[in-house]
Amino acid sequence: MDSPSRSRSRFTLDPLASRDDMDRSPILRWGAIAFLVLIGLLLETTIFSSWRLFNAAPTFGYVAVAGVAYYAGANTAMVFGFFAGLGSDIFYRTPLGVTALSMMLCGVLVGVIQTGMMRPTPLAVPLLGLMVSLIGNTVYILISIIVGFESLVSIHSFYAVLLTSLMNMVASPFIFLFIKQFIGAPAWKNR
Amino acid sequence: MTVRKRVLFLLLITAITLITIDVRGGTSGPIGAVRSSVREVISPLQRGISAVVSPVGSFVDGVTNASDLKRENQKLRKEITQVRTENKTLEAAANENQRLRKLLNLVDEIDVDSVTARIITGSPSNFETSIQVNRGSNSDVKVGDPVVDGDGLVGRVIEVSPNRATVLLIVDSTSGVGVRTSRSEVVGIAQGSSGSRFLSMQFVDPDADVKKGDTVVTSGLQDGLFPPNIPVATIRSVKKDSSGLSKNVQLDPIVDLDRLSVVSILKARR
Repeated sequence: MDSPSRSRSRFTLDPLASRDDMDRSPILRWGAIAFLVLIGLLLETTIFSSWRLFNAAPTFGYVAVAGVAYYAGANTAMVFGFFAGLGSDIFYRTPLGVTALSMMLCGVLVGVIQTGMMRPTPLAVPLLGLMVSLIGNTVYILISIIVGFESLVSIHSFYAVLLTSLMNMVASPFIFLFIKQFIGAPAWKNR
Repeated sequence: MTVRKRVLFLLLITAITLITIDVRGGTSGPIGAVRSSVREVISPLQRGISAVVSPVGSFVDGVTNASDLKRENQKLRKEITQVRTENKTLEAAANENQRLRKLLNLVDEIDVDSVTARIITGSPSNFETSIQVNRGSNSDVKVGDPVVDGDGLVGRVIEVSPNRATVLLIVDSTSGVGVRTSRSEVVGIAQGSSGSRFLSMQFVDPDADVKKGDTVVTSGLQDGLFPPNIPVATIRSVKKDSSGLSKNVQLDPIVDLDRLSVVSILKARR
């Protein structure tokens, strides 16, 4: 039977893990994260941004961060969220770092929540997708307003957050499945 | 302090520093330059992906907007009949206009150089309305250049890199275009509003002669940014403002901003 530390190391993708915990080389693990960020970014700025429902497009980046947090823990999600957000910020007019900050905080939040989960329920994934989208987009709007984008204070912003969160909720099982295939077994299983 | 807390703290400080530098530096700052370069590198990949998946996007768009398309089709059929009739009248008016222009020795002010550009991607986020086009400073595109399509005004260039530019659409909440009604010459500012596909005409006198269906064109008064007489919108509704100090005029953009594929970038007069 595997020792707890051995079973944790089998699936870990945590870039902050100690050297003893690593099965894959740091280059491979960072490479996997960079690849996931790049693919996500390209899809988000090309395909997903055109899938609009009542003028609101999904923001699957937040769900991806939640997926990484769910399967790989808060540390990985924090770093993944920061760089994925930074990548998104390149294409937005809001200052560089706003999405990075909101996605990073979402990663930490979901990572902390998943460590408290005794066992997953069928509704856990859609609910996490909904929650992370609502919180992430709201944090993004709040930071943007603080740094001078007052135009985001509008009824449209409210509808957009709501609609995009519902779309994200529907898509989250598929995104979580992709993340799971990409990075391995759930973090709760590895504890 | 645990590793997680240390890294979280480091990332927080990095994000706040980046935000501060970007806000202070604007598009001409160091982060603006980095952002521009990264967009430039990624744009060929985006173009490739867009070309491959655009049929899927069109399908999704068609499914989600099928009822709108049906309604629009019926509306367009009616309009074609109406326009054919009007066209004959306008031809005569255009001939007369041409003669008058010659007579007054006026220069056709819209006759400016232009560059044709293809759309790379649409709005990247829910909270802004801009598009990326495949022409940049290598094609002599500059910040502030007006962008039009066959129907009318699309927006203006707000950021340029060698082979790519960002165009702020007229419906963005930070966009304002000096306009006038073509029938009654009432001037105002066509202002976008957050997230919606409509405009509102600001600073319209409460007694001004504006009616639903009037066409609104660029006034050319905005320090030469937009050439005059480019169609911008049609008046959707006119209501009295609650304060009674102005009229609340809502506009429908003439250009279908959701179905842009090719645009012309005009050289701004400086």
